[in-house]
Amino acid sequence: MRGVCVGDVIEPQALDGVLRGHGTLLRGNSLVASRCGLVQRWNQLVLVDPLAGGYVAAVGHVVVGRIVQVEPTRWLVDIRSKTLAALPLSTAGGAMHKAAEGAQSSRSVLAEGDLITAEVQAVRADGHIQLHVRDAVASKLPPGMLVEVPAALVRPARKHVLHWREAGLRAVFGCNGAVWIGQEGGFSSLGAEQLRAASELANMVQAMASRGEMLVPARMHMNV
Amino acid sequence: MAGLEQQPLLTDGHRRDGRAYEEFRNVFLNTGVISQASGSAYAEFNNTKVMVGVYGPRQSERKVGYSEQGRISVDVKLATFATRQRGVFGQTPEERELSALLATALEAATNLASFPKATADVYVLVLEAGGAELAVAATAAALALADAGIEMFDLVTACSVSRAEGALLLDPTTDEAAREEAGLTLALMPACSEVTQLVSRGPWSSSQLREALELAMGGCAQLDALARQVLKTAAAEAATRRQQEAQRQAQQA
Amino acid sequence: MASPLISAAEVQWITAGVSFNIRNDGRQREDFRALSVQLGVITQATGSARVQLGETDVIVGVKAEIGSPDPDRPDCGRLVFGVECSPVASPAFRGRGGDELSGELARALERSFYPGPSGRAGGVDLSTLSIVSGKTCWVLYVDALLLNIGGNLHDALSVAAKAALADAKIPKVEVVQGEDPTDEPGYEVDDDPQWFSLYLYEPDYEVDDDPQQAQRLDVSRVPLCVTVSQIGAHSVVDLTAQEELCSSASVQVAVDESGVVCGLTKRRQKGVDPSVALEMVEVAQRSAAKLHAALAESLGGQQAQQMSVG
Repeated sequence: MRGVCVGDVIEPQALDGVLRGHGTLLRGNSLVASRCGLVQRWNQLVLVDPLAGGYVAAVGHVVVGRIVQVEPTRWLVDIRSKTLAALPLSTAGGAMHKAAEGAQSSRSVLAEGDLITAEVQAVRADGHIQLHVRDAVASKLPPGMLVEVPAALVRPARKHVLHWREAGLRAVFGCNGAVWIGQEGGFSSLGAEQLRAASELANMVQAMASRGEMLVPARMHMNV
Repeated sequence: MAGLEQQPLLTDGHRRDGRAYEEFRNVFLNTGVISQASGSAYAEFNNTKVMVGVYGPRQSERKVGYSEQGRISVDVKLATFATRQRGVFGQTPEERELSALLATALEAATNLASFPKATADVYVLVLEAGGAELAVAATAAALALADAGIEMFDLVTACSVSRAEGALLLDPTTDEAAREEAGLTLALMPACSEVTQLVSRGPWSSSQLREALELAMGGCAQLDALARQVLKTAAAEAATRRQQEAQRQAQQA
Repeated sequence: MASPLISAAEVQWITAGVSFNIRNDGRQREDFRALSVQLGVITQATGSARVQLGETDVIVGVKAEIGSPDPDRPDCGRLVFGVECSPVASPAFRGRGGDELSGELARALERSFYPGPSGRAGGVDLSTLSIVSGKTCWVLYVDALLLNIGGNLHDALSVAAKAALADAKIPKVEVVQGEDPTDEPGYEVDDDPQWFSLYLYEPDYEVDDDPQQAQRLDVSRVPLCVTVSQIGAHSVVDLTAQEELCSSASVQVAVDESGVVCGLTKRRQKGVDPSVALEMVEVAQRSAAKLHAALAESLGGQQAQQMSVG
C-alpha cells in the first residue's frame, strides 16, 4: 500500500486499463490523488482510501448517531457525515405506527440528544442519507458513553456489537467512528465493576485511535 | 534605537535577520492540532504563527440557499496580541478582506462538487503577525483542508515577495514589508502550476513583475515540498500500520 | 458531533460513574487532567503562555501599554481582561456567537484579581505599575484566546493568565525631570524594539534596550480558579465538556497559594445547600493546592531555562 497526498500522481498513463475510483481525478493523461490516503487497487479500479475526514456513508453500514431534530415525519440524525441523516417514521417499526396514529408523540420514542444505532439504508447522489432501524425503541441506546475516533479506523465488518453479558456491558463500533460503550440492555442497575471496565475499554479505544490503529470489534473482544 | 528607522534593510547581501534575499524564515508546518475540528494545521514562519481549523463539510444552513455545489466559508481573525499595537475584538475590515482573498485562493483548489449542499468552514487564527500573513494563512489553510480529507485538485502554497532597496526579498517580515516599494503575494497549485490568488501592491514594471513572480513560484515550490512531506509522513505511517495489521490477521487465520 | 446535546441515558451513566468515583476517562472525582504550560509562545507580547488542560487549549497574551490610571486609584496601574472565543475552537463562536461566554470568562478573571480599594490586594500589587501618580501608569492588557474547548475553561484560563503575567517583562521607566520646572516630566523607557511605537506619540521618550533592566511582576500571590461542580450528590473538579452538560450547580473559587479564598462565584441553574457549598469550597482549596504546585513546578523550570539562555 502506498501513501499519497493531494495532487500526487498515482498513474502517469491512465488512459486505458484504469478505472478512476474515489479520491482520484484525471489531470491530462495521468491519474492524480484528490485527497490524502492510501492507494488501493481492485483489479482495474484505483482509489484512494482516506486517512481522515468526515464519514462517508455507504449502504449497509452500522452507525451510531445522535438525534438532533424531531420533525413530523422523520428524525434527523447526526452521524458525523457531511449531511444529516434522516430516519423516517415509517421505517421505525411498530412503535411508530402508534405514533402516527397519534397515540404517542414521536418525541417520546426518540428525543433530541438521544443516541441510536442504525443501519444506512440508502445514500442518494445529492448526499441525502436514509437510515433504517428494526425497532425505534430498541435502537435507542441505554446508559453509556460515546467515544469518537476517526471514521477511517472502523471498517464495515460482520460484527459491530460486542457483548460482555456477565459484566453487563455492551459496545457498538459504528462505521462512522462513533463508538458507544455502555450498559447491556436488561441490566437494571449500574455497578462499579461495570463502570471500571467501560472506562478501561474507552481509554483503550482512545489510545488505539491516537496511534491510528484500526478498531476491529472481533479483536477487541480478545483484548478485554 | 531611533536610528533603526534610517538604517538600511540590507547589508552585504543579507537582511536584518541574517537571511539571504531569497531565503525563507524558519518554516514549521504541522497538521492535526485541534482535536474537535475535521482538519487543522499550524504554520510558523518565525514570528508569524497561524492556526487553522476546518469544520465540516456539513449541511449548509437553510438561509444560504440551495446549491448543487459545496461551499467554502473563510473567516480570518487576528489575535488581539498578534500585532505590536494591541488589536481589537471583533472583525476589522482588514480581516474581512483577508478572508475574501483567502477564500479565492482556496476555492479554485477544492473540488466543490464533491460535497453538494454542504459547507466547509475554514477558520484562520493569526496568533502572531510577523509578516506575510496572507501567504502563511493560505498555506496552512490548504494543509488543513487536506487534513480534513476534503477532495482537492492540488495543494495550495503561497508566498510573498517584497521589492525594497532595489532587491527582491522572499517571505518579507513586517519591518521589510513596511518599507517596501512594491510587494506581491502569490498562491499557487504547484503540481498543476495554476495560480489561485495573486495580489500585488505598488508599482511594478513588467520585467520586475516577471522576476518577482518567478521568485514567488520558486518559493511556493519549496513550501509545497515541505507540505507534502508533512502529509505524506502521516500517510506512510498509516500504510505501515495497515500492512502490519494485515500480516497479523493473516497469521491469525 | 459537535452539537452540545446529551441524552438522558448518557447523563445517567456519567452520574453513576461519579457516584462510584470512576469517571468516563478513569479519573477520580478530585483528579485533574494532564496540565501543560508553555511560556513565551508569542514573542511580540510582553508576556504569554499557552495552557493545555486535557483537551482544553488556551493562550493568554499580556501587552503592556502606557496609559492613565483609574481616577479612583491614582497611584496604581491597571489590569484589563479580555477573552476571545475564536471560531477555530468551535463554529458556534462565529460572528457574535461567543460574546456571552467571553464576557462571562473575562469578568470571572477580573474578579479573581480583585485589587481592593487600595490596589494592593488581589495578587498583583498594582502600585508597582504606577509611573507618575495620577498621570501615567502601565496598563496590562491580559487577552485570552480559546483554541480548543474541552471543558473547564475557567480553570485553564486562570492558570494561563497567571503564567502569562509571570512571563511578562515590564520595561523599567525612569522619570527624567525636565529643565523647565513647569514642563511635564519626560520618561525614559527601556529600549526594547517592541516599545518603538512609543516614539511616535511621545518624542520625549527614551528607551533603553537592556532586558536585564526589565522587571518581572510578582505574581506569587495571584490566585488560581478552581471550579467545583455537583454531579448527582458529589463534588467533582475539572469537568470535561460532556460532564459539564450533566452538572446542575457549580462554584468557582479563586484560591491563592496559601489556601486563602480570594473570590467565589456560583454558576448554573440549580441551588445548593449552604453546607454543601462550604464542602465544595474545601474541595476547591485541596485541588488548588495541587494546581498551584503543578504550575509552580512548570514556571520554575521554564524561567530557569530562560535565565540560562539569556
